[in-house]
Parts: sequence; structure tokens; C-alpha cells
Amino acid sequence: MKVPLNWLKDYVDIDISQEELVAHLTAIGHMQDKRPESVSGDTVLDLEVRQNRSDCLSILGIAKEVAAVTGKKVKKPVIKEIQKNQDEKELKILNESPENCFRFSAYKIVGLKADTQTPEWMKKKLEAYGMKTISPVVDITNFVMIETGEPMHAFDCNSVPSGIIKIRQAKKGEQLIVLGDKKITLTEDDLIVVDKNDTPISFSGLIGGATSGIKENSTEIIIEAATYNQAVIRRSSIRHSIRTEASTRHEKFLHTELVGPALDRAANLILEICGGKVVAYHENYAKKSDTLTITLPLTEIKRLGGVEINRATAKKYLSDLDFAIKSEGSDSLEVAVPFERTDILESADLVEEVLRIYGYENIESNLPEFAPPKNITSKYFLLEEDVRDHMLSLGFTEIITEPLTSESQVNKDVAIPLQNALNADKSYLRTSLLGGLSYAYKHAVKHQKEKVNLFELGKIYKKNNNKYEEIRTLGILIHKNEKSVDKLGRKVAGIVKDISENVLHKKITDDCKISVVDEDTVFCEIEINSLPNKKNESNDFFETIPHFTSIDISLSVHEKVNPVEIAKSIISLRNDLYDISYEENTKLAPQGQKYLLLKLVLEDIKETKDEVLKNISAHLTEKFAATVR
Amino acid sequence: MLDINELKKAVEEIGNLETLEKLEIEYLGRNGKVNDLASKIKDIDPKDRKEYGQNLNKIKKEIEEIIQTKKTSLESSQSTTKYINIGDVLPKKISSPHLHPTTITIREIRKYFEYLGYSIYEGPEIETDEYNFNKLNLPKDHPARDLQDTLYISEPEYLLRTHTSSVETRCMTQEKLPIRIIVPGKCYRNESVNASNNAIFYQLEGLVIDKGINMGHLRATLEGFAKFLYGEDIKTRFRCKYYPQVEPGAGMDIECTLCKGKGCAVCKYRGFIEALGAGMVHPQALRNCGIDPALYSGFAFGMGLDRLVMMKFGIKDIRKLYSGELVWKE
Repeated sequence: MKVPLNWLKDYVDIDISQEELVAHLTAIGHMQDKRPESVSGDTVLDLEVRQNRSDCLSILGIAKEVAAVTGKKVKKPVIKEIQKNQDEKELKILNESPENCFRFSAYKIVGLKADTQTPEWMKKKLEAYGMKTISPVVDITNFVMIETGEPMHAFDCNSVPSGIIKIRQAKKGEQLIVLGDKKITLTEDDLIVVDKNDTPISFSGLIGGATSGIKENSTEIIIEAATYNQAVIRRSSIRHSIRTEASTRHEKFLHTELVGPALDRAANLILEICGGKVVAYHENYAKKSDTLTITLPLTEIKRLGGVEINRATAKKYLSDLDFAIKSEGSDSLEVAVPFERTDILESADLVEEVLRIYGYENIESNLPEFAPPKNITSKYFLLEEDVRDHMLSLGFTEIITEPLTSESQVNKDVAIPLQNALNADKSYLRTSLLGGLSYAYKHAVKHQKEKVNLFELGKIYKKNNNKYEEIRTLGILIHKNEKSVDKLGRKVAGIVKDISENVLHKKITDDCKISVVDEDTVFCEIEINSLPNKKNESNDFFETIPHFTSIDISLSVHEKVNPVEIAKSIISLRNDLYDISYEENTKLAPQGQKYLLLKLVLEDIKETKDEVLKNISAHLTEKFAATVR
Repeated sequence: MLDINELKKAVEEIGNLETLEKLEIEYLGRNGKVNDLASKIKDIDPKDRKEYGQNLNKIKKEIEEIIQTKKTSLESSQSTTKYINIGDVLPKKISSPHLHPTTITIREIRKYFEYLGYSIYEGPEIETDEYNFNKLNLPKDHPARDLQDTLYISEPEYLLRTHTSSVETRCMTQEKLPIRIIVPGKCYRNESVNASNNAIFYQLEGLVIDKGINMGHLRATLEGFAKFLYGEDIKTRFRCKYYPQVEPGAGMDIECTLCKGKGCAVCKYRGFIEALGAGMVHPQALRNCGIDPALYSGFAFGMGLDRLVMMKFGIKDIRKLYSGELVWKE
């Protein structure tokens, strides 16, 4: 919200420096957004006004805040009373959407002087605010909107035949050309103003029609101010991408009682500047906004704020903010909320009012002295941290990548698409960690990294019937650590087995997939979907120095026999096997056969080496028709 | 001739090769005791000279043996390692594995909060409108629901959480009181991506609910955290700021370290940088989670983690954080 200081000073005396003023406003909830600028000979503050303070989207609202925190009084503009004579032949408001238009009030003013100019004082203020000046009536409606926070609009009477104004929901597909010559195709959720022929003339709460507004030579006008259901205005604003000064205010909670004074102020200014006279007034007041009286138990200030503020001080702060104290209980105050403060709904809101004028910087810091509650730290979180540490100790660097990806990267059977993705590259939730790791290792290689060991611990996302699942997953990628893809595969399999058994304490299943990304790179991922029950019995240490026996077995076997099966069968056969590896040679062997060299290391064998060799050879011959050489 | 026992005793006492060498010279050297005795052979009666010589040889051998044994023993117990100065060696470039900067940052933050008795809590990334907005006092069409910012899986019910505050409501709904948690996690917004904004970002949420929790407790917790993150000398500012899920609402800012509060481009000329959004949990949010606001009060706070991570690790473009493009120098 832009706040030109000269304009602000019309409503409140300021005798502190600009820095102090900004510091005060920041402290009470309106932080400096961009830095102050010099515009049209005035200094303009730019304040962040939060979404709950519709009243502060007005210079008067800010003036009230400044007054409260500096102990001054607000100087309200003088508004002369206007005769509200109703004449339905001149002006008639018909409200067909009372659940969305809570109030619609208007004046018809005729006999405006031609060739009037917006006075300099108003022009300067509007320009300082950043508003283009157009013509007196339009400028006046903008001026009053910025001054009071209540948006308003003016029609040329020629666009409102018989002075009949109707507010209704738009029909699906109905069209309206708005200011700026933008064509809008409306929906049933949009609220519009139409004339007696049912032709749309304005988009309620957002923007006026292109042709129905004030023209250079308008001498007969209708000015209106209204209160709408903010939800409808907000939806329409988003739906059609229309954001105006009016819509910014109407999408927040505005009180219906703002309408009267604002409309009278505008009428006053029009009569003063453009002449003419008010010939009619009409309104439809469907639903009056609540005006609350809230009980503030004084103990709440200490209970929530942690500060002692006595009754007199609390009363002073509240009345400085224009909250009237209607009555007092032994321990409480009955506080009347000024109608524009639609953000004040219960006692906690009043506590904030008192505290912010008291000054948050005056709240004493004290750590809670309560004993810590029960530890509910997520066990999965702790397990994941163990996995990270283990992967790190194996020489792997962690990456974290975005879970959003493109359609081509996911398993379409189970992937979860986004309804409103910004672009196609990020339109699905990933179903695997491969994409991110693959991209990362290729990027790492460009940095002269020969070997790349990466892992990611993150979620993959799958649709299961109608449920959305998030599955914690560990992804491992190894690039160029070994001389062949087979050896890479063995390595990643070994790591997966190690993590599964020693950290996750569960066995991997045989169908866990190893992806061969390219001839130098393998990838594997495992789901972390269960917590270890307790630490399994593990033989972590050697108690005594073992006696290792190395045995090499050369054999020839049918070329289709899988050496991994042979190795696994020996693992099942012997419980004294420490390690086993093999080398294959298909070239030198006769047709249909291949040579295998099995290298075994046994630990503390009970028989002789020969007996062991016999035992294993016999097994190999029997099971695999192998010929031991 | 010579008292061997005396020699044996002397040798036993010797602790280093230098002293032993001296003794060796004393006995076996050119002008040593043995040679001295040898030179005295001309004073011996010729018929006794053979015996004299033989005895002297025997003694000489004994002395040599004693000294050699001691020498061997000293040599093996003294380290005869070769030394080289590290300055004379060209160190090999070592590549060590690393955890992701965000992981490292979360571990740091854990230390502070676990010290204060906080648990680490988690919640789903795929959230419902109920936990992400409604229970947080952010009903449909409320002006504080950021415009067009939510990524939907199935509007309006299923979405990707826009903040870790959704986990606050889950915790308040599911867990027994009192509560003291922090929640680190991924959040999603439908924002256009540039060097300082990304669609995916990490946030950290904190929540304390108990009887008698007030803003003095909140301020102390935030100040302590700011000091932990930015150093004891960091200047902080505690002020009123609106968030729909808290009332009274607050913000903690830290003085811009670059311009020391004077105002510069980095702090947008404010002199302070917004660090934490916070406040007392809104009574409506408490009611929405089945907690009686007359009995219990609490505070909540939240912050974006990524800016902190980038600052700690000197990363300038937020898009690099989670694109897989961070490559450690070593």
C-alpha cells in the first residue's frame, strides 16, 4: 500500500522523523515493503498491508494506526449530510443475488458542469499514490477509495436507461467488454451489474464496463458503492486474471457500513468540484455485516502475552485504536469493535491489539520452564539418518532432487499427475529416484570426476486404487568404480544387501531390480517401508583369529549354466564359506561348454582341505553336471 | 684383570646407543681398557704370557658379546623409522563423500531444538485441504490463501502441501498434549521459478502446546535459535505480523549483516531480513484440532530453510539446490 506522506498528514499530525514513523508502522504490523520514494514532490512510503487488514488499504486506516501508536488524534474529513430522497423513477437498484451482494447503494447526480478539472490538490495526491488522473468524477471515486478503503464506481446515465441497475449472477458464456477493452467470457459464479435490458455494464467488485463508465462530457451520473461476498470476488479475480485496486479490496472482508460514509464523501466532493445536484438515492441492503462487542478477560493478556498490563493501560491502548469500552467487569472489558476492523473476531485478536501498541519489543524473553514432553521423534526419520550415515561411510555423496518430473520419466500405470502444473517438465510426481540420480551423475562427470557414487533418500509417489502413496526410497547409483558392468552390478548388489541387512534389518528379495543405466553405470533402489523390530543377532566380530583356507576349483560346465546359481548353491551347502567369487571363460572351452574358475575362501574348516574339495566337487558334479578339472 | 660384573651392571643401565658406543670405546677402543691391558703384556713373565693373552682374549670376547647383545636390544626397541617432513611431500587430492547441504543444516538445527526437548515430527507431502488449510484457520476463499499458489493433485481435496504447518494440525489432532516438535520437510508452491524462488523448497516448522505457554516463551525460543544460527551478536527484532494460523501473530527479523541495519539491496533497504514467522496458535486452529483454547495455549513458528542453506554453503542460485547440480569441490 502506497502512503504519500502529505496525504497521510491530512488525517494525522506527524512530528516524528520518517525513520521513526516507518519503525513504528513495522513494529505494529505494517512492514516497509519497498523503500520510500519521492513522487510528485511528496515522499511515498510503501507498506506491506497483510491480508487481514482491509481497513489499512486506506490512508485513513493507516492514519488511525499512526495515531494510536504515537498518541495523536485522527482528523476525519468533514462530510456534509446529503438528502437521501428516493425516487424509483430516477434510480432503482434491483439485487438478484443477495447472498453475494450484501449491500448496493447509489446516488444519481445531474447537472454537472462541463469542462471541470480535477483540482491540483487531488491530482497531486493521486499521482503520488501512483494513480493516473483521468477526469474529475473518476478521480474522485479513486480518491475516496484510497482515502476510505471502500471502492466505488460511477456510470454515465446514458448507459443506465431509466436509472435501473440490476445485480445478478452472470449466465454461462455471457460476455462483457471491460475497461482496457478486454473481453471477458463469464461463468455462473461471476457477479455482474446489468441495465434494465439485462445487458452487462460492469463486473461487480472488479472493473467497470468499457462503455458504461464516465465520459469526458458526462453531465448526469450514478455513483455507487457496494459490499460483496469476498469469496466470489476473489474467485472471479483469479478466474479471469483481473487484479485492480477495487478487487484487491473487495476480495478481503469489508464491512457494509463502510459504504454510507464513503458514498457521501464522494457525493460531497462531486458537488463541490463539478457542481450539479443529487436527485435520487437508492439502495439494497440485503445483509448487514456483524458489528461485534467482545469480552476481553484481562488475564488473557498475561496468559497469552506473558506481560503484565494493567486495566487502565489496556483501556487506553484500545480506545486509542478507536475501540470503545462499553462496560467493565471485575476482570474484563466489554469492547466494541469499530466496524471497519473486520479482522477482530475474538479475545485473542484484542490481546494482539493491546500487545502491539504496548510494543512486542517490550515483551520479556523467558524460555519455558516445563519438562520436555514424551519423545515422539519419528522412528523413520532416525532410520533414514542411519541410512545416510551408512551410505556416507561407504563413500557415497548425497543428492536431493525435485520430486516433480515429466510424463516421459514416470511409470504411467501408477504415476500421480498434477492438475495445475506450471509446465510439462514438472507435471508428474516421480515414481523412481533414477531420473534425478542419472541427471546428477552426468553433471558430476563434467567436473572431471572419474568415479561417481551417489545416493538419494527421498520419496517416490504412486497411486494405489484411490489412495495416494508416498514411499520412502533409497536410490543408489555407481559410475565407473569397477572395470565391467558385471562387477558394477555385483558391487551395487553388495551394497544393497549390506544396507538392507545391517541397517534396515530386512532381507532383499531376489526380484529387486538393478538398472543398467549405461555400460559404466548401474542403479538400484530399495523401499524403506518397515522399521526394524530389534537388532538381529549378528556376528559383528571375530572372537579369535580364524584360520582361512583358500580353494580354487576349475570346472567345465554347460554354457547355459548360471555361475551365480553355482555360487549360491555352494553358499547353501557350506556354513564355513567366508567368500566366493568366480571367473568365466567361454573362449577356450569346447563347443557348448564354458570354463569356470571358482575361488573360495573358507573359515575354520573342520575337515581337511582335500575332504572339502571332494565334498564340493561331488556336489557340483551332481547338481550341475560339472566336470572338475 | 677386569671386573666383568661391573661392566655387565654398567651396560644394563645404559638406555641409548650413544652411551653404549662410549662404553664400547672405553673398553674396546684403541686406547681402551682391553688394549691397555694388552700393551701391558711385555711386563708379564714370558712363561705366563700365553695364559695372559688367552685370558685377555676371552675377556675381550665376553665384553664384545655383552655390548653386542645390548646393542641389538637397543636397536630393536628404538624406532628406526625414517622420517620425512610433510612439507616435502605433494599431498594427493582426496575426494570425500558428502551429505547434502540441507541434510547437514537440518542436523545442525536438530542439535539446538533437541537440547530444548523437542521431538522431530514428520507428515505427508500429499496433503488434504483439511490439514493444509481448513484446520489452520484458512477456510476456502479466504484472502490469506495465496493466489494461485497451490499445486493440486485433485482440486480441492488433494494437494501438495504448501507449508509444513499442515503437520502442526496433524500433530495437534493425533498426539497427546503437551506437544513440543519441529518439522523439517519439502513443500511445494506453484510459483514461477527464478534464482531466488523454486517450486520445491524446504521449510522448518516448530510447535509447542502446553498449559501456560506465552509470547515471552516464544520470543526467547526464537532469539535463542537466531543466536544459534547466526552467532551470539546477532541483532533481532520482534514485531507484530499477521498469519492466519496465529493470534497474536509475530515475526522475528535479523539485522542485515551486510549493511548492519542501514539498508541495502540485499535486505531490500529495510535494514532487517525476515527470518521467522511466528505467533500464538490461533484459538480457532486449536478448536479445529480438538484442543480447548481456554486450557491450553501454544506457539508456532516457521521458516524457509533454503535461504539459510544457501547462506551457509555459499550457493547463489536456489535452483541448484535440488536439481542434482551441486558438485562438491572435494
